[in-house]
Amino acid sequence: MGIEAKLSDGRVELLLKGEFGPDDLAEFNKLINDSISLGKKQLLIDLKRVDRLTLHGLAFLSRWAMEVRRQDGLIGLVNLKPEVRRALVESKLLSLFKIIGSKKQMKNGAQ
Amino acid sequence: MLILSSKKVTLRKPDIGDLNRLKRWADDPFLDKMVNSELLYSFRYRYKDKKKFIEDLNGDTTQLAMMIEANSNLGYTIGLVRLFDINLLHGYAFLETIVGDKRYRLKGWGEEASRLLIHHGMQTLGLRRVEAKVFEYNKPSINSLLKNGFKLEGVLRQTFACDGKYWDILVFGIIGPELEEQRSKLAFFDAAFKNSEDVKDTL
Repeated sequence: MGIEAKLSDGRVELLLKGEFGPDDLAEFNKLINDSISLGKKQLLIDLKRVDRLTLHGLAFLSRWAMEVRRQDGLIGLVNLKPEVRRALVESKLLSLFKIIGSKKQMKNGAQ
Repeated sequence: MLILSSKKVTLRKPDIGDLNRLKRWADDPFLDKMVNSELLYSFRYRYKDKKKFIEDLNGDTTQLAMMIEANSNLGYTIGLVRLFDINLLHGYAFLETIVGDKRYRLKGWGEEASRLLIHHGMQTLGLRRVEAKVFEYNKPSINSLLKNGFKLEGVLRQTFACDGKYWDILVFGIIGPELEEQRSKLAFFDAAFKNSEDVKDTL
């Protein structure tokens, strides 16, 4: 399992870990739909345990971002390592997300 | 390890055990004429370190290249199929299929391998459009694309020089709803994707 989820005020916080497969995608989609039905349209994905993104990892992130945007929501990414950021830039997917340096910065109101 | 299977073929990632067959295919003038693969050109001329070629190929986030194994012949590797120039933002990619072993050409192996990879691309990567370009004299590839539900979308007139003549390049494409139509016609897809737990990758 690659996802740990935590609900907080107005937001869903997720911690991603190493292994990912199609089952995780289905689980995440359900999580998004459940969250939106509860009125939570912001997702925060913590990537501190992710060293690099493969093609499939990028594809999952972009599909989640599209799904949340369709519902007028937003995904924030926190704790991006250099290789992860580089992969998002090269695939031109960076603009789909709100990038936050760290959870501390987020609490201080950084965009 | 990413593995995709149907009744007829299995697709797996390339590894260093494939170097000799990739060299054979890259040196094959018939394949060069029919496919003119940028991938095989790159293997032949751009990489002195062939192991690095395999590493780069498998680590490339803009393409998904898979070796084609024939299930009926104990997993014998017969070719290569890939989705390349993958654009996840807009959801499109390009298809290239190479049946390197001539004994397996014209028998539907490439067609089924293409179908399997395209479906994976649409189901797992979120692609909604796949495009393929083919030389006008490559009738087997044209037939294969048509059988897989691709539509002829355009002609790039007199683009490719071969045998002292300029040839047209035909542009084929398939989009999401057309793939669904293909899926409903062919029981193949149901068999192919039951093993979704076989599809694992590292995020």
